Amino acid sequence: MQDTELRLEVEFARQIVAKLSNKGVKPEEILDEMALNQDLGIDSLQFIRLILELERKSSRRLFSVQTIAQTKTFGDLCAVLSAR
Amino acid sequence: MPRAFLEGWSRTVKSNLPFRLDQGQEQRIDELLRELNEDPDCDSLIKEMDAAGIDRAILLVIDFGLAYKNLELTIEEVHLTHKQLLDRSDRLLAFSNVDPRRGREGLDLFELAVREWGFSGMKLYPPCGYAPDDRSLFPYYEICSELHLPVLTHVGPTTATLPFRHTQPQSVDGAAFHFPKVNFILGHAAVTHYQDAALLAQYRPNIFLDLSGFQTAINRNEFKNIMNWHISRGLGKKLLFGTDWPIHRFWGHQRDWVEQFTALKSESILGLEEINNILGNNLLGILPQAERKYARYGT
Repeated sequence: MQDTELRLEVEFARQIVAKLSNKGVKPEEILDEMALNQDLGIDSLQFIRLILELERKSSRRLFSVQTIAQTKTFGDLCAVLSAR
Repeated sequence: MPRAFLEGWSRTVKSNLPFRLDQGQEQRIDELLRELNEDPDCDSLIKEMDAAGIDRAILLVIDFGLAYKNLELTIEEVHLTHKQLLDRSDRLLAFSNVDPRRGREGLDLFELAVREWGFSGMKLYPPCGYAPDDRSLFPYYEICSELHLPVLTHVGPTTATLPFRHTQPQSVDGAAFHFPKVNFILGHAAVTHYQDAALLAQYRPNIFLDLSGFQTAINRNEFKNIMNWHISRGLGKKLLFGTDWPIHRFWGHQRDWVEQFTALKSESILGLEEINNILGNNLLGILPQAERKYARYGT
């Protein structure tokens, strides 16, 4: 994957996480080490939505059961995006 | 897992999502749920047990044969598949389940499984259409009483394609009353119907509560309150750790689930002895004696 494409996907992920967050986090405040649940307020149902939105945007199957279980932080999410 | 079971489960999951799905997303949910249930040789399970420090796990047979049509395997084949897993790994145990409406043949299969094939308990799945206190189950309970086998019965809602009748904790009371030497485990009841279940477990010495499904309580921020509820009622020796593998794999690994319990020590909700009891000793106390020698807990 090209750097530009990855950057755009990470930026989209930042936007969508901020949109789904129930803690009112702004995209620019999101750090890699932030936990999606505790720090960013993404509950289990919104987490499913996050996955589906990211896959729709990229038109690809990004996640497996294994990678979903491992995705705890925003950095983990970026790792899934860049691993393809 | 029968296709109809998965279809019902998928419909429930989709109806609980607080947003609209397009057709592609609906299909994606179906795909992920199918993938979630793929671990036929238990390789992923054992790998996760290693990482979590879990010595042994119990596999649960469910006889869907009379509830759904056109299943891939007969109930004999399902038992044989589990027997092969038991033969392959001494870290796996299995509980047998035969729909009591199968009559004498069904009882014979159950007896073969627990006397000859190494199954160490009985599983009931009342959503398939029978009550735990139905008299047709009494011959099974006689065998469980003789061999000191625990009976684990599902409690609470399940897939949308099966009825939820007979899934209240109270449905077990008649059987527990008539068979005081048989230990009954109420599956998920420590979480789904925890107040009613706790009352039963307080007053029936042979009723225990399985905690599997606690992952949902964590997602809803109810887990610690539920644990406090049970502990404050003196049920520390009645609670059994379970993860309901593979259902909750989206939300974490086996290690994460063990850590959720060990972390309760630092919050003064559980002491070390209670944690060890919940993670293993309580179950070892009600498994047949032959199984106890394999495990680290309780030795």
